[in-house]
Amino acid sequence: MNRAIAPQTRINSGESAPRKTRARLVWNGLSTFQRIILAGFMVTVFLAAFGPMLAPFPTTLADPMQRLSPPGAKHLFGTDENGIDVLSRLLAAPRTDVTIALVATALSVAVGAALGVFAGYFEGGTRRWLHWASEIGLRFLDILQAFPVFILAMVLVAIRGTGPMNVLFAVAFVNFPVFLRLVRSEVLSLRERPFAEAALAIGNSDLGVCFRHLLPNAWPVVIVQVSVTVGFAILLTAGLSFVGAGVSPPTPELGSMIASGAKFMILGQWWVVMFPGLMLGLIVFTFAMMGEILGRFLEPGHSSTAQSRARSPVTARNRPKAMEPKAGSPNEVLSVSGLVVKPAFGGGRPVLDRVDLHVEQGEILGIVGPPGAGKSVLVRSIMVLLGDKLHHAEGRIAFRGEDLTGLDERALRRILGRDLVPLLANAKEQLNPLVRIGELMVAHIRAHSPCSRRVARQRAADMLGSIGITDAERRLRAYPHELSGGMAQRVCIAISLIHRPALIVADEPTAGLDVTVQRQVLDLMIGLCEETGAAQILATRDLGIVAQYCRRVAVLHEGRIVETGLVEKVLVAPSHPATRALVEAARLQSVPTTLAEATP
Amino acid sequence: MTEPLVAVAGLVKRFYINAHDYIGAINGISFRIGRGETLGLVGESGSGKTTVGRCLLRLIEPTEGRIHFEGTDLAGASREQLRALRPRLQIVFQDPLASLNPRRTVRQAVGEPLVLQSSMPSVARGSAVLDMLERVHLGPHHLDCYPVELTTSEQQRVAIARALITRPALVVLDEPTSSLDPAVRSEILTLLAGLQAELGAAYLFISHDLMAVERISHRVAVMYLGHIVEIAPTPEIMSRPRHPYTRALMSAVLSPDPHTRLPPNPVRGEIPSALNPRPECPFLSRCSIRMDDCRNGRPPMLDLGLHHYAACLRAMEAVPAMGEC
Repeated sequence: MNRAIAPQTRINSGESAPRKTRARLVWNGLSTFQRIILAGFMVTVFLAAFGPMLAPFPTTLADPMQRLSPPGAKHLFGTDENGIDVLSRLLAAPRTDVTIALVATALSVAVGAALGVFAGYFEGGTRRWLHWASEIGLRFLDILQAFPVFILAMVLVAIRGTGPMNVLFAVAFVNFPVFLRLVRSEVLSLRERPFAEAALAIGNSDLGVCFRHLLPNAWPVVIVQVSVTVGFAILLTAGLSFVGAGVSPPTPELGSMIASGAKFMILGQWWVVMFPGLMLGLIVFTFAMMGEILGRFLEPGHSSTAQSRARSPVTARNRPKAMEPKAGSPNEVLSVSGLVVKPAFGGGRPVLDRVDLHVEQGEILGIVGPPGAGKSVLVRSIMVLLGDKLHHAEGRIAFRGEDLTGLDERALRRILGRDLVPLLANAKEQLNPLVRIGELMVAHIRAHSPCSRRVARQRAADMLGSIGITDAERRLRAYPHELSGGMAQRVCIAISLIHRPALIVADEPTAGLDVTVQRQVLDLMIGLCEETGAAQILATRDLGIVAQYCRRVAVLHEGRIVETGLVEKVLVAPSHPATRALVEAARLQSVPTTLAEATP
Repeated sequence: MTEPLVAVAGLVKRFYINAHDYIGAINGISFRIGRGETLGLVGESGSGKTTVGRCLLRLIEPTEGRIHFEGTDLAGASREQLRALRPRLQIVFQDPLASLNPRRTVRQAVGEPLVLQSSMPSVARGSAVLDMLERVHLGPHHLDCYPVELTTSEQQRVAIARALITRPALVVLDEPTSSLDPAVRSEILTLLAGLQAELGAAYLFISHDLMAVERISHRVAVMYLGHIVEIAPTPEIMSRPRHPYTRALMSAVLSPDPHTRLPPNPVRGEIPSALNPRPECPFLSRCSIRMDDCRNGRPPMLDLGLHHYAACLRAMEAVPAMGEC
């Protein structure tokens, strides 16, 4: 466990700004409730270590004179049937229970995790005997886990006899399958991650992959489970002692204290049983809640990501002047002016800063920029789909002369999906997997132009036919997963064009498609726009798409439009350094070509 | 031709679904890579190019075929032989963050191949790690960073440093630039070309990005549905592509120069399923110049001279050079 936690507490040397320690950062991130839990945990651990020394009276020495005296000034929590101070026994008891539970849990983690890694790593592998070994082991566990845990533990203690050591082994034995299964299922998914393959490729042995790479990544879930299991193990230890199968009196132990006190409950001497019972409940609860807090300590680099990504301040000097739209141009479909979008909470610099754009009828405007420049945010703010984390601070988004930001939801719904439609990346993931293509298209048609289902279905089939999809009827009956990525994007294009929109707002419409398919989809999309007279905004990181398919281009850089103009001008003779960097990168100009050398 | 570094002959990889049905991921391919040479392997998703890289390193088991590498047949090598060869044979993956263990620092990740390989004293190892980091333009302040604390470019450079620290003879670059944005892509390609000049490793550069492949490859092999359909030196294949699929790929490249005219798109449809491949030309369903003979068996690799080979019955026909059509 230490190995997994230690590196995270190290402070990252690569940063200059003074930083708080990790523990402090985590403490600040906790809620009041979690802080109380953490404090309770500390107290429990402290009691387990030093409890017996704090006891004001001897914990095992009977005093018949003081038998069953009620709580008072001398004995704060009263005394039990042997006349021993309940408070003293209470302070000393956690040592027994917590120690047994901790050691037993450690043992079951060690055995369970080690076997779990092997079971997960070799399951279904090419070496059949290892696969069968893990398979047989797991079936054996199934049998074991079919027994109620408490009964199993009691049987084990009954076979080996009572005493702290045997309780410890019994508790460890009934808990190790939990860790084995947990680690196995984690490893089953971890081993498919590329870093596991990379570990093999650089020459690790199977053991090396298991213990150096897979197990450390499974630790977080194990740690969370450990704290739950420790709580449960305390309960189990106390339970075994309660039924007389565990730690026997006079050793101070919560279970046997409850057992001996239970018979006095009915006689009105409630204090003998109530205080140990409360304590047991609180300890178990504290451990169970600790899991979540521990989980926070175990994310690598969790503390520094936010700070290390601070961006350089933007200077206003790069901002070109003459780019305001000629207001009121008759063919203008969309005109964005002075758009500012800020994070909804906590202020910070704007994500989009005074963005001005205009798109004319039938025009295709490309929006390019490095990652994080705000392309997607711009696309979403045009469709008034910013969500909760961003907020439209100022500016106008005029669609055919109407300010979209001022419209109420009903008016907006009439426009979105009919006159102003989105076209986003990963079409396949955007289609609801449970809805057939036909139903989706019919619903979309009827949402904006009331007609019968039959008519709508016919229109949907015609639409698919017009974009070159043969056997449209079969496609209408298909579910999204039955379509290839290219076909799904074609269906999305068909859906977006059904109502002959005035403007399509596309965000990386061909991301994830193969190049030959991308070419077909783009040809189709641009061709249809020309046919129907729809204008289009096309945000992409691929300058090739812009160069070949767009008329004008706007370059977005750190939330501002730094350059805009005809594609032939901007991409051939860029004036802003950000544009120049984009063009150079797209043309791979800085990459030295190896072709001059002779080929073997 | 001198003794090649890698000679792959008749490589086949089938994924069986049941006793009779299988996915033909690789259907018998052969190629060679010379020392210090870069072979670009181009194809779309589903073409089997990534499977070739995995088979070459025996990260998955090939079904048939031989892979000669420095006097050993990798396809038949034992686990111990393979582990001994790992330092000579390395791989860089597509997604840099996913290919690095999130719980190990840069120092641990880059130094690990050395720890595994030899009993090198830790002082020497430390300086070897620093030297390698310098070559990929990272510094000592990156040593104790975790992968999530680095930028994508830095992560990929760490992965490259890890692959090259043992001075391998062959590095499989599996789409190393595909998940990167254009600026980082160009930076990583520059770095890879420079490192090859310094360290002399041969690359198998697997990518669907024809522009990147053209930049850094000496020769290019085009894969389609588990077959190599054309292989030739880069200038030759770029100026005179003979296979219709190669031409389709090239016409799909969207040049960032608006003055370059886009050639007409010669293909329709998408790559078909690789389930139970039939003995016919794999490109048949999408080909615009197919003939009846194309259904009778897979077309053989035709030697077109100048180390140019294409698996198309009509490869010999005069075709206009690219850009003139």
